[in-house]
Amino acid sequence: MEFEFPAEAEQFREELRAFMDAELPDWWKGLFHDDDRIYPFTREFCMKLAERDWLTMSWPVEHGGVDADVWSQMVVREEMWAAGEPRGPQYMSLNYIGPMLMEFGTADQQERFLKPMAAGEVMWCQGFSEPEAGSDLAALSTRATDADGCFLVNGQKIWTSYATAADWCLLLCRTDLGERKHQGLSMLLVDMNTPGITVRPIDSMGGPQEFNEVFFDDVEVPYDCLLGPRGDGWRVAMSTLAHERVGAALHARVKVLLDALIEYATTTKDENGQPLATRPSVRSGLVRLQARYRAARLLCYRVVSAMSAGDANDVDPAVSKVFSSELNILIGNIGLDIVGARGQLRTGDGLAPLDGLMNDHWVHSIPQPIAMGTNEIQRNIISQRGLGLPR
Amino acid sequence: MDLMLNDTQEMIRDGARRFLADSLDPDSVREVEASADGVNAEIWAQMAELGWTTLALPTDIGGGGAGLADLCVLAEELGRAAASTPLVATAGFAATFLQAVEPTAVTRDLLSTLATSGAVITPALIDAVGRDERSASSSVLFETDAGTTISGAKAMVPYASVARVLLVSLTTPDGESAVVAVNRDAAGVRWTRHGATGGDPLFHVEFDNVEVPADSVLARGRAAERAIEAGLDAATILATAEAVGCCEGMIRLASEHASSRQQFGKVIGSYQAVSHRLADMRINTDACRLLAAETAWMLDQGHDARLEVAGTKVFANEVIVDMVHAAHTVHGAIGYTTEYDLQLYTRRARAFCLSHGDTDAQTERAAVALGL
Repeated sequence: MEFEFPAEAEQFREELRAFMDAELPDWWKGLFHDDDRIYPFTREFCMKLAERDWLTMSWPVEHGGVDADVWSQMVVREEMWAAGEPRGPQYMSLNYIGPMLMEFGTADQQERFLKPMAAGEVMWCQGFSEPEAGSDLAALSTRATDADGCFLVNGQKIWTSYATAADWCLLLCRTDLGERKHQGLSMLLVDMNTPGITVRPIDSMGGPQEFNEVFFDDVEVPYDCLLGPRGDGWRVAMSTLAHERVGAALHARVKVLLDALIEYATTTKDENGQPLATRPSVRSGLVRLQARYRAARLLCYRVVSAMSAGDANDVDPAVSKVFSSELNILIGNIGLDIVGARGQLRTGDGLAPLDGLMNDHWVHSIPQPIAMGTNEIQRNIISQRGLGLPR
Repeated sequence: MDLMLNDTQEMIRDGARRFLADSLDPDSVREVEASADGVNAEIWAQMAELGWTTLALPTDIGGGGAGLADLCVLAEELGRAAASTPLVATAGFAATFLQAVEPTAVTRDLLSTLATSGAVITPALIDAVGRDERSASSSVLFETDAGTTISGAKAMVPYASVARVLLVSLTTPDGESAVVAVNRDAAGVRWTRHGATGGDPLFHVEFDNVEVPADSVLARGRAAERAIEAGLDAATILATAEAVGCCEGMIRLASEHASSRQQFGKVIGSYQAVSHRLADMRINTDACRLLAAETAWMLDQGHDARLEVAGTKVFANEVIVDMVHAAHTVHGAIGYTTEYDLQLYTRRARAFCLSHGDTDAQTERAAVALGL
């Protein structure tokens, strides 16, 4: 075992930080805020990353990458997530939509879709969840039927992040009625500008930008936009979803918050003139968070190590996802307790401690155990595939 | 960055697992626990012969030249087998301590004893009236023209009855701390075994005017404290790896039970109230293992790892206490019986959480290292 990033990767981290310091505008607070400037900015930002070969660096050269080692790729994941993910939705293209196309796409599809992804020119969203198909994803009912030389899609997706800005949608839908619900699903690549698609934002605790409903009303999708075998969409979806679970370096944001909390606790005095950091509960809270931050980071790195050794499994990404997302919840709550009553005040309020950082994190931590496969589903994966327990 | 076991570590794991499967079963664990010395003496002797107990000692004194990280792989296997060996005390504490003090003829002699004979050298740090290893000692070192003597008593000394040498922390009449190597057979040393929860046999050791050679005082003052810290850091991480092995034992038994026990017409492992507890045990055990491995690696590299050692112990204490009860809950009443194997693991795991720095003590150490 070896617990150090390669020197080149660390050097690259410095370069990337300098680039981000220069490129991130003062108003940038993170991806999910109520601000119309966000998506146009992320598109511009991704194109600049692409110019430097930093957007899809771990992809093979033939698909617009530079075959970078996995640890340089991890540096990008960490630095981006730490900064509130200024790539916008494009981390999904990099982490699993692109790799899915490489695994299942035709030569034409690869040519058509991968290059624009690598150039940072295109935003994708993921059309999986439906009102009646959340954790039970295979119960989805959006239908693609055969019409004149194309599929005709009808149905509804929900909790679709980035749908207002996305150019394309990775759509899992039902093309055929199989004997089992996992059969008859297919993966379609859908142009979001096709007539019949309606996107309706859902106002959520995280603001108006975070989630959407997407309605499909007789949407024509050409047959050449079927990804992978017809009726085999479940396998296509599952093949790369494990990548998604470590694709966002959830631990990286924890480090930013932890450093901010340590600084706050050592420099803020309580009513007796003592730094908050002298309180046993504060000391205990920060120590617990620090150890868990290390563990979250290592659990994520373990998945990447295994992938690069060709020894990947389904269980370790689930372990990493549960641990990291629950750590994000924990630091939100410990952090709010440390900043105290004024932790209720939102970003932008002059009296909000740390400019509302903990308040903002707490809100955005709520979906983490739910997104990317709920933690209950992850625990099913761990107990069934990892420990051999019956379904 | 590479979190996969390397070839050496895989060899240690596979070799130790095979060896322990062949030589130790739960019944023999029970026999050892009931014996006077409480140690798997034959296993320790064979491990010494195989070079495993001296794996992390430098090659120039006959060790294997490997690191604490490699030793952790062995410790986990010992934990899985619920073996009672002085690996943590001897290869963890004593070996590290003896390399951290100013080298003398005595320390060289003790290290070569460790390297060649499988001898047990064990720490005697917790004062009979003290809270833990780091509390001030009321046992006293007297140095006069007539000779050097020690007096006092130590609690919870592991493996004292089979030890050749005890590394005893003391205070001089001037209030300076010191560590003295005491032959366990020296006149005036008496030991009685504690009844205790865990798998390591612990002894109350009294020193009644024990005469020791003047050069057996191995370190004094800050140097003594620093060497004790170094020894405790290594022992803490090694003990964590051993506890991870106990957790693996708990997970194995609980998974087997949950996969076979039926209630309400179904195997209980199909209920998520049960299976999700087990998933959490898997998650937290993996986290403990990785924290211990990274910390061991840092110590091997010579990095300052005070924060990491203490933080690892705080985390392990917290999650292992929960795991103990989760494992018992999954088992129901059967897990509480002595004829069932679960208690072999859960007692060891719970004792670990109180040893090598309890949560309060390690939280404070970590907080200071974190700059709080």
